[in-house]
Amino acid sequence: MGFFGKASLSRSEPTWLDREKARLKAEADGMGGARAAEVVTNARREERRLFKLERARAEREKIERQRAVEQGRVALEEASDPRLDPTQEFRADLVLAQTSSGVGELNEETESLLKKSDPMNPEFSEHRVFEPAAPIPGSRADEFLASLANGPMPCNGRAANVPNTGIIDGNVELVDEKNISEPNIQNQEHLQLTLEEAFFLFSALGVLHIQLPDTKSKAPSPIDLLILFAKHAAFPPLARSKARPLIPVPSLAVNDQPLHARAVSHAIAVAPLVKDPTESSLRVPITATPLSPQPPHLVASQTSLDPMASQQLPAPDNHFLINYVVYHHFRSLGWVVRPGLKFGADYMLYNRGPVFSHAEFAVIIMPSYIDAYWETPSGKRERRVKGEKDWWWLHCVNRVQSQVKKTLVLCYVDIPAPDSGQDCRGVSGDVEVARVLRRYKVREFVIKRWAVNRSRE
Amino acid sequence: MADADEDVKPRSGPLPEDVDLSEEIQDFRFLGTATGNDVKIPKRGEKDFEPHETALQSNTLAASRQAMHNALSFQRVHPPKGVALATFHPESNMAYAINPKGSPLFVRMGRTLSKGEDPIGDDGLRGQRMWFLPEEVIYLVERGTIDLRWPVTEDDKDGKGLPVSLQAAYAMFLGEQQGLGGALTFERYSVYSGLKRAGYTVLRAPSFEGSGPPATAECHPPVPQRTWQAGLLSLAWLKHIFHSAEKEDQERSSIGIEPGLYRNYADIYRRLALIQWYDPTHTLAAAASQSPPIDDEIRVTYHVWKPGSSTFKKSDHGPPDFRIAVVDARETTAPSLQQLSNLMATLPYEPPKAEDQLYQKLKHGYKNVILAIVDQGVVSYLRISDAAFGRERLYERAGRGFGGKRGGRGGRGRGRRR
Repeated sequence: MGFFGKASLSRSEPTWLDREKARLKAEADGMGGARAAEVVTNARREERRLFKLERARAEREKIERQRAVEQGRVALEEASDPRLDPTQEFRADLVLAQTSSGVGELNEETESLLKKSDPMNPEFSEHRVFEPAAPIPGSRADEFLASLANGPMPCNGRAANVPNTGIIDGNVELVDEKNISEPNIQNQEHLQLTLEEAFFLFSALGVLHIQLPDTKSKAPSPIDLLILFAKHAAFPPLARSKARPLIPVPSLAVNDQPLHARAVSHAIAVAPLVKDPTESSLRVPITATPLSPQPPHLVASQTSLDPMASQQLPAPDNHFLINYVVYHHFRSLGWVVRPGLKFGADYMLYNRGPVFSHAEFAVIIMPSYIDAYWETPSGKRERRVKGEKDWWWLHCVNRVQSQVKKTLVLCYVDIPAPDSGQDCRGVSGDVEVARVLRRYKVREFVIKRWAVNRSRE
Repeated sequence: MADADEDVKPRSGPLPEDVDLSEEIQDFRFLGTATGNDVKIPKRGEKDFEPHETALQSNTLAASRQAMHNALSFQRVHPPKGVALATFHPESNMAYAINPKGSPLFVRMGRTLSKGEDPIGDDGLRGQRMWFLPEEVIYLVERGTIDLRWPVTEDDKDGKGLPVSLQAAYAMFLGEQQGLGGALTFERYSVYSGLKRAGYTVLRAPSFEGSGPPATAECHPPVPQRTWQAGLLSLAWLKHIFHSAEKEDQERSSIGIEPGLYRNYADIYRRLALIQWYDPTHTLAAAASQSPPIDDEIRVTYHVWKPGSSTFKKSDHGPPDFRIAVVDARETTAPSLQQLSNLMATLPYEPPKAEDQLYQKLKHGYKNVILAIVDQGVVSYLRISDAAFGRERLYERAGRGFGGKRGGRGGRGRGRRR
């Protein structure tokens, strides 16, 4: 458990305040304080960059020397090349590992490299001042402490000291909790939570208090929040009504398939050739349909819902719902689940947390429409995910994951048919989140490359 | 909690298991230097990425090319005693040879058929007649190990029949014909020959054509021997095909944990368990997933044994080391849950050892198969295993203060001021 969210001005956990203080202190004292993660990372990256430049330069030297020897210009012992080409010098500096001809003298080149590296200083955020945008610092969340009486609660390590509230379009008052002796800085960064994390903290653990922008007085119930988050699973947010969205997003379809490079090339390949020689191009039916009225797969299936319901459930294959099902599944087993965008996956699973060890598994979610409902014509129309992924995609993903030493896990989610209204209601007659989520089933498969030559014994 | 993965220094090369040297052309010069038994052939030569316009580089390149040319132009001869004559049998689309000798390949390939199966009938030579399947025939003809002939007619002077060319062999054996040797496609042959060249022993699986025999008992996990609870077992499990949360949680309306006193983390985690997950150790789960057969099923094509396997005998194979399912990349898409679950239902149940580490258990899985994805002759192998994450509950592992660390000093010595 733990490791929720990402701070807006830091790499992961909120360290901006610490870094600012360290910077100010360093300026005042003239010596460095404790270093945050970003500083260490930047230092290491700089060092690596210089090493690469050095290596590229040495390689170029070697080649130049070899060439000089062969051309008989110099004897074997000398290493300098009398040819100096100023224009190529610049090229050499900017390119890291390529070779070029006509490289200058040893000293000159190193100097010019170092000179060039200064402006490329990585953004040590110490040297910049952020404009205070919306008031965003953290405030103490008292509900966080009150909800669980005794016993330690698994939580984000940092949050214990500087609790942050998950905020969705809300305003929170400033609280400055630092000592007087230290420089009085207002914390300008906030913690960003993904929708799945926020929902998990709110409803499963009950440690998060969420304020909606319009209903300040009433706290949202879990099912309200579920519907709200599901609505925001797509951009623009899925609208119930027929109102036209503010930004009409045209959806291009080729033969009713969503626009995809492979689909376009396939459509062109199979399109019948136009017989009339006066027409010069292939006719491929490409339909551009604006989003009004909404295409059927974006609108929740309302026909099958109980007309008396005041709450309309999202479609069962809603993106947020499926993601949350998988998120909750792995969290409840004890894994730390982080977004996997950086590695091309949906989630990364960590044993104890990102700081302790590398992630071992990368999870990709594959929604499956097995239920008989999805085979009916109306079911097929209402599927959000049309078309299937091909083998090349699977190999790409697998290669990416194995390059970063992770194991790929395909998590198939069996999507139930849209609720007829009975299954999701509890004894009180209201729709219950637990029942909604319990209708899904999850099955995992681990994918690994098998090498013919390596499995011989 | 900086993402530790991003700070991994890029390694100097790819992973050992990703390096498949057979996919790259190696430097043939090393063949010349490797004389004698004590010299180890180096794994790979130096790789230059672009021309340097140095004489050294072009000389090296020319030397490597010449070495390759020398190696490939070596003349292959057949020893006179080692010729095996095989005759094509059109009706069954197979070929037979009488007591073929001359190659160690014959130890693991071909089989003699019994009285009832032999298409020619029970004559004196039946016990010595070795029948080869289409893929075996093409492979042997390609290698030059057998001398394949058309059936003998009256016109043949030396009584041997016309030689079958390689082109004719491909034409006859690859195709959609029925009979004992049917359903061999180019994709399947690519996989077969690739594995044979690597040294494996490859035989057809029972589900080579069609769906094969129904799932036997070994495909299901063993039934727990709790006879006194048998009545309870049948009633309770029948309702829950998939593993569900505990019974009392069924009545909970919310997914949240009630505020209260909890003494350990495991209690909290157990209350969080909500989502149903597939449990392969559950007997009835495996049996109840008898979904109707779909159009494009994935089936196990070949049974493969390792080259050094000492337990393999022609008469009694033993269980295969690997099961390969051949898939055409151009005709199919990434597997759906339906296809995978049907495929898994035909596989035997092989759970990981209980004393393994967590990651090994998860990666080993309860059932596994190797998919050979063929894209116009290029084969790529993926091992798919049925992992049950739900069975490895992290919170039940012996605690190292699991979850209790409040972001202590980890990672790369990051200091933190409290």
